[in-house]
Parts: sequence; C-alpha cells; structure tokens
Amino acid sequence: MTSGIFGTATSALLANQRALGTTGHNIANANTDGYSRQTVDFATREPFETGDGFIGTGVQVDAIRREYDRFIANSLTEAISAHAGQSELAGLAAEVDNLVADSGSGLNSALDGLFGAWQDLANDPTSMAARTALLSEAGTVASRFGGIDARLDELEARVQARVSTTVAEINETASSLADINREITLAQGGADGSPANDLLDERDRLVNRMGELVGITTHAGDDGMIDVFVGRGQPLVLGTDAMTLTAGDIRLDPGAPQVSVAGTDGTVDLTGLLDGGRLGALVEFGGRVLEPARNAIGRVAHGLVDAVNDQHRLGLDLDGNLGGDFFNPVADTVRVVPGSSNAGNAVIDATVTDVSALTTSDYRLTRSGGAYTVERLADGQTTDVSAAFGGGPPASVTVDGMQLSFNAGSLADGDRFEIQPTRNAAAAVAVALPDGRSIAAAGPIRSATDPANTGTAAVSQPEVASTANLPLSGSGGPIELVYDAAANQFDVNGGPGGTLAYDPATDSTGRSYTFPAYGEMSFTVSGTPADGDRLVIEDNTGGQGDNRNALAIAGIAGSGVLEGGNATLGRAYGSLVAEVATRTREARSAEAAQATRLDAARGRREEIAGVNLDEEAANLLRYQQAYQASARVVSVANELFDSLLQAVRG
Amino acid sequence: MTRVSTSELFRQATSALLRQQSTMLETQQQLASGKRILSPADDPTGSAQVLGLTSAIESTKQYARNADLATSRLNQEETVLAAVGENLQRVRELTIQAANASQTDDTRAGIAAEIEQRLDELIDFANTRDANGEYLFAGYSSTDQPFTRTTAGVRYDGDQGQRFVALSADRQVAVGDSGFEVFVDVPGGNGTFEVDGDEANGGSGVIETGNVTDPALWVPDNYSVVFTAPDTFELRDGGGSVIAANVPYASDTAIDSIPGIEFAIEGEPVTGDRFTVSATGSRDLFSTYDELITALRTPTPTTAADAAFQTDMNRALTALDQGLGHVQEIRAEAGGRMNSVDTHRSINEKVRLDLESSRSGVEDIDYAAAISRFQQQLTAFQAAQASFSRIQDLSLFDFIR
Repeated sequence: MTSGIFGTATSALLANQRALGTTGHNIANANTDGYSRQTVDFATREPFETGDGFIGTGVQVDAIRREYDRFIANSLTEAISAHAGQSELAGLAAEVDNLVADSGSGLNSALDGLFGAWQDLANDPTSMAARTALLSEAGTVASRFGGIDARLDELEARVQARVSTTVAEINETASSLADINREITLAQGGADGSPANDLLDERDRLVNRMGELVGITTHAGDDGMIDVFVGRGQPLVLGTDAMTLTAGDIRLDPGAPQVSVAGTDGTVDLTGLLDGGRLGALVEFGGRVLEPARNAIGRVAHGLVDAVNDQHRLGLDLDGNLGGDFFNPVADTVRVVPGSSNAGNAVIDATVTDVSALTTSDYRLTRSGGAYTVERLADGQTTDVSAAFGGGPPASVTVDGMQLSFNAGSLADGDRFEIQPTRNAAAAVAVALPDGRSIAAAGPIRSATDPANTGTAAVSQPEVASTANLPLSGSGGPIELVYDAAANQFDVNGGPGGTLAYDPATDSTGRSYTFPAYGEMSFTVSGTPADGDRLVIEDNTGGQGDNRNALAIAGIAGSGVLEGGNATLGRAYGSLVAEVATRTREARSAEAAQATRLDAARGRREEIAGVNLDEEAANLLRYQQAYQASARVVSVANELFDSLLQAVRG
Repeated sequence: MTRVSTSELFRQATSALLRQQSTMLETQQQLASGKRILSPADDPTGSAQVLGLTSAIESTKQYARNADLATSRLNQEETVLAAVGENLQRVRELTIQAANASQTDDTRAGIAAEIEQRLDELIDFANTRDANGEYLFAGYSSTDQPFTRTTAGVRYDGDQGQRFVALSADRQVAVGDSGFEVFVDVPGGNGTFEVDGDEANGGSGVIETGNVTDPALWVPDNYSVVFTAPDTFELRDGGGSVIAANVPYASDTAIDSIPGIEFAIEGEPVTGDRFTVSATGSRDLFSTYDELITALRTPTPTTAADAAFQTDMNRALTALDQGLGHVQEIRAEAGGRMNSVDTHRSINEKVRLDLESSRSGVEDIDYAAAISRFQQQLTAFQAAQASFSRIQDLSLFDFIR
C-alpha cells in the first residue's frame, strides 16, 4: 500500500519537476526571438484495480509541447515578407526621389539656368562675358546629367550586388531548412513522435528569415517536414532537398532572367514572379523605378542635345561660320546587347532619329518562327518588322523615333537583341564648343530692301530650317527678288530662280514664301512694290549683333521637344520627378501599412506563443506548491511506514 | 482576454515611442524649413507643381531682366533720335534763313559751314555706340561702324536687321532700328515723286514740290516737262515719248497732266528749259545735307542760277520735312515699344507675384496648424513615456519573497 503512495508521490514530484524545468526554460527564453512558450501536459497514470475499485497511481507527463498556431505563424511570415519588401523599396526609391528633386543636384534649376543664359546672350550677343557665362551654364547642365546618371548607375550596381548577395543568402537559408527538416524527422522519430519544440522554433525562425529575403509559401507534410515554394509555386525546399537560385547580371545581359531556378524541366525565370521580400523589392525597384528614371533622364538628355544642336547648327558664330554641335551628339548612345544565347551572328545597330517620338521604354528585337518582332517592354506592344528584316541585311526600320539597322549576318530563330534607346544618353552629355566665339547666336541670312525702291514693299527677316545651300556665297550668292508689276510677280534671280506670284491687291498684308532647297528659308513679303523694286536675301556677313538664333534656342525651353511635341524638357523632367515621388510615396505608405500588419501579426503570435513573466511566476508558485505537497505525501507515507514498523517491533 | 507576452509589451511600447519620435521629427523639420514638402514623396503632385512654378518664376525673372535691357536700349535710341530731330530742325531753320532773298553768296557760305558741322554731328549720332561698345544703328553688323563719310557721300555699311528681346514666351519686342531704317530709308521728294530743274535751264522757272491727288492713278516713272516755247511745254515719260504736247503754261498754276499728281512751275522759263518729275525711292539724310551744302556754296550770279538755287531750297525743305516726319515716326514707334515693354513688365511682375503665392500655397507650411500639431505630438509622446515607465515597474517577481 505504501509503495502505491510512494509511487504516486514520486510521479507527482517528477512531473512537477518537469513542469518547473519547463517554466524555467520559458523564463530563460522570455526574450528569445521566435521562441514559443512551452507547456507541460499532465495526465493521470493508469489506475490500479482493486476490489474497492480503481486506485489512482499518480500523474505522468504526456507531452511537453509548444504553444503554436500554424495559421498565425504563416500570416506572420507573410507579414514579414511584405514589410521587408516595402521597406527595402521605400528606402531605395527615396534615394532616387531625393536625387532627382534636389535643387542642388536636380536638372530643373540647371535647365532654367541654361535657357536664361541663352536669353542673356540674346540680349547682348556680342558680349564675350555672356558667351562665357552661357558655356558655364551649359557645363553645369552637362555635369548635372552626368552626376544624376552616375548616382543612378552606382545605385543600379548596388542593387545588382544586393540581388546577388540576397540570392546567396536565400540559397544558404534553403539548405539550412533542408537540414533542419532532416534533424526534426530524426529527433521526433527517436522520441516516439514527441515534438522537437526548440528545433521547430528554429525552423520557424529560418522560414521567417527566408520570408524576409523573398516571398514564400510553405506546406507542412505529414512527416513533420515543411516544403517551401517561391514565385508561383516553384519549389525551393522539398523535404530534405534544397534547390539553388541563380542571379543573372542584367547590367551585362539585360534580357537574361534576373533570378532563375533550375527545375525538373529546365530553368525557370522567376524575375517577374517574385512577390515580396527583399529580393522581390530589388527586382521591382530596378524595373519600375530605377530603369524608368534613367531612361526618362536619358530621354530629356536626347531632347535637349538634339533640339539645341539642331537649332545651333542653323546659326552663325562670331566669326561668321555656321554653328557646329553645341553639345556632343548623343543619338548614337543607343545600347544594343545581343542575347547571351544567340545562335546567329547578326550585327544590329540603333540610332535615335526623332527625339519627339522616343519613349522611356526599353525594346527587344526577336526572331521567332521566322518573324521579326520589336517589342516595347514597358507595355508589351509589338511591331512586326519582318517586312524590313526578313530580306536580310542591309535593312533598317524605325520604331518610336529610333532607327534599327540590320547591318550584317543573320538572326537564328530564338535570337534576341536588347535595345536601350535612352539609358546611356545622360552620361554622354558634354559641351562640344571650344569657346564662346563659336556660339552661333546670329541667323545665317538676312533680307534687305533696295533704297532705290519706289514702292512700299517690305520683306521680313528670313527664317531657316536647314543649312542646305547655305551660306549663299557658296551657292550662287544673294537671292534677288525683282518685281514685275505687269505680271504681278517677283522674278527670282539667284537661288532657286523662277518667279513668285505677288498681287499687291490681295497680298499687301503679307504673303509667305519658302525656298526648300535654300535652307528651307521662309520669309514674308508685304506692301506694294513698284515695277523693278528689288528685295535681297543675302548672307548675314558681319552680323555679330544679330541674336535671332540665340532667341530661337532660348525658345526651346518653352517648346514641346518630347512626346510628339506635347512635353517641354522641363515638363518631361517634372513628370519624371512626380512619377518617382509617387512610387516612393506608394512604397512609403505601403511600408507603414505593412508595419501595422506586421505588428498585428506579431502581436497575435505573441498572444499565443509569447512568454509572460507574471504568468510564469504564477506557474512557478503553482508547480512549487504541488511539488512541496507531493514531498509532504512522501513524508506522510514515510511516517505511516515508520508507525507500522514500530507497531511490529512492539 | 488578450494575453500579452512580456517581451511584446516592451517591443510595442518602444516601437510606439520610436514612431512618435519620428513624426515629431518630421513636424520639427517642417517647422525649421518652413516647407510642407520635405521630399517629393510627401506630395508628388505638389512637388511637380512646385518644379513647374519655380521654372515659371525663373522665367518671369528673366523676362524682367530682358525688359530692363529693352528699356535701356530704347531709351538710348530715343535720346539719340531726339537729338537727330533737333539737328534736322536747326538745319531746316538755317535752310529757310538761307532761302531768304536778302542773303548773299558769302552769308550762304557761312550757313553752309554751320550745316557742315550739323552733318558731322548727324554722322556722329548715326554712329552712336551703346554701353557695350556696339553700334546702335548698324542692324546686325553692330560691331562695325555703320556710317562712313566718303567723297561720294556717306556710305552705310550696316544691314537692315533688327534686334528683338523676349518679353514673354510669345511676345518679342524690337529694341532698336537699323541705321538703314532711321537715316537711309527716308522717303524722297514728297514721298511719291521728286521734282528738279535742269542744270542748264536758262529761265527763272522754279518748280514746286507738288502733291499726289489720286494715288491710284499715279504711274511711277521719270517724267519731264520740256518747254517748247516760253508759254508752252510738253510732257514726256521716262522713255522720252511725248504724252501731252502743247500744254499752255501759266506761272504758279497747277499742272495736272500727269495722272494722279499735280505740281506748279513759277517764273519765266525759256524755250528748252526742262524740269523733271520722277518717281522716288528713299533718300538718306546725309545726301540731303550734302546737296544743301553744295547748293549754298554755289554762287548765284544769274536769274537762272537763282532759280536753280530756289528749286534746290524747295527740294531741301521738302527733304528735311520728310526727314523730320520720318524721325518723329520712328521715335513714336520706339515710344510705343517702350510702353509695350512697361506694360509687359507690370504684367510680368503681377504674374510673378501670383506664381510665387501659388508656390507658397503648395509648398509652404501653415505655421499655426503645424505648431498645434507639434504640441499635440509632444503631449502624446510624453504621455507614452510616462505610462511606459509605470507599466514596466510591475512584475509579480517583485512580490515573491
């Protein structure tokens, strides 16, 4: 009988010891991240059957298990993933945001300065000081373009490096997960299926770590192992096997997958499939913020350089020579990268021919099933260029203001070329002029009326749109219009020759003419000429005080250079700033929202799994008391036994 | 009941404190900078607006600078034109004085000497330079001296270009006139035709300036009046063909045989005397002066010479009047441009104020609201700090002895 009491008491001592030990473990891990509070499940031992009925035999520990809810754990992993992604994205986007909008490094103030300097030069075209100031403003614009581009390039390199290290971390974590899956199976198998609480916690920690790196889904198998999937269900960890992700360098091979995984049926491109986590954010940042921003800035560079150069070439410098390039041309900065797996040997070149039609997208030329297609990557719109390229080189085709030339070789089916029309333009902006004298502020030709004219005819100063046959001294000298009153026309001597109909009765308020072959010059004749009156259009020799070309260039600030004539340079840059700011704001508010969600998810997990020291203190007292009571039972049983012995000894 | 874990209690309390600190810092930065938008992401639309507004403000400042420059150049032109007007006026007075019958060859030579001075002065005016050393009246060729005196008269080396300055995105104003426009392109004669007597005339006929009666009928040509007898003349056109023969002559009576115009001859011409009536182009002011000086220096020993002198005086007076009118007209135009510049300047100024107030509305902070927000945040932060320190004091372990 006493052995029964001893047995019962001892079982209670042991059970409460376990419980005290577990409480101690809980207290010890109160601040351990990812620790799940453990509880001891007590159960009565199998009773002893007597004639009086069943006599209890004490208590036993059924299991020590952790407080855990799979659903809550999963939603915490998701929240961690989403928050890590948005916070990475917000941080990176803010860098671009501050860069493009900062008045010290941003472009707007530099563009204002440049066009202001052109106005100042127009106000005082012979001043060397104004010319020097203009060159210095132009230098500022060039260095702003270069500076912004260098910072973005550096950011791109940083993002690329971070993609690589993140992929390496993911691979490492995946193999740790596979290992721990194995350990858990072994441990739980060896312990008759008792949960390996601390290993399970460790695995959850790894899963959350993985979630921070990349968006994942998990699946718990019956064997106690979990499988981890990325993207749209591509397996990353299957039981004790871990797959390996590969990071591609999009800077060297822009068309290659940025992240891929080797699956059972070939390599799977995960780039567009990643959602959440740091890796998802890095890929999204590159594709949605950084590249569009670089392209947009490059497009502004193309617009500025082209518009200013085109107009500048139509002017005369202080020495009476036609203007050269004001900025170094950037039309040939289009980058064409053949796909790394191309089988053909085609040589493809690209150049920008019409900046107003440029977009901020990248393009891809592919040959597939014998058809040649150019895809605009931003919106997936395709252009079939088979008609031009199908016949082989040499061939060229123009897509969105960019001319693609197929110069030599051939494309094999499946070959691709990545085309970045504007990405590299900003870095190439540089002032081409050697000195202020070569700034072409004057117009190339001027008009005059003959003082001997007896009529009232006047001729406007001609505007030119090209340099064809200019200067006139190289193409037959001044053009003279002599009025023939009888025929109501001007006889054109020199230049294109022929006659210009002019009837003073209807045209005296002004009639415009154009000589397309001569600088595309256009001018307006008004008034009433007398027979034999002469109007002359001549080279603007010595016209150093002329500011027409400077005014025309200053006017570029307000003219629609980009987007089919709808966007000024400042406006295009402004919309880039707004776009980056919007993305940043989105990421920032998403980060705040995700932080709240993460807080809530963590709170819910802690509600169940967290250690509360007050609760543990109470448990400590509870188990201590039970232990003391059981010890008392032992001592009572001992006394009973003693009294029995004394009775026997008599 | 919600179970709270101890570490969660601390974590949440600290993260709440951190959050409050960061919003407080943001408000503090807004207060310190006076700007509502600290980074474009705070208000993407607003910051794009600010960029646009800033550019617009910069260009209004540029236009204001342009307007100042236009005003100063136009002022300078106006000053020179006023002096040119006075010069012409003085020469006109001298011409009237010289035409007076009481003058002798010697006194006329004296007057000629003064007009010679005036001519030098006029050439100086025409070669005026601005503050930067550019010639004001040279057209585009503003670095080369436009007017040079030669033995054949004063030569114009400039061109007919005109410099413009932008007052706004779509308004440009000329800030000067070429020397051609001011000094060379002065309408000759009465603006339509010019009269003269032949050098070899023997009679005392003096032809008057004449005027246009119907511009529509006037056919420009070089007509001549040839006296076939002291009381009859014929009219010839430029080709020499007689277009009206045997026209009776009466002194100081309008001759209207040429369609669209009329003129009169006064005095007693003799047979063979010729007068010309020619369609005229422009006539520069300098040659008017030169011709006047030559006429004044030519002695008038005979009635014929006297008649030639009177004709020259008539011609000179007409040309001077044309010159005065022409210079007045250009002054008026320059004045009009100055008005236009002033109008644009004040519009521009108003636009700039409007733009600045719009920009301020978008990007500047509302101090009253921001300060009260800051106060609120501070109170909340202090409350959080105080309650946190109270909560973390409580532990059951404190009571287990």
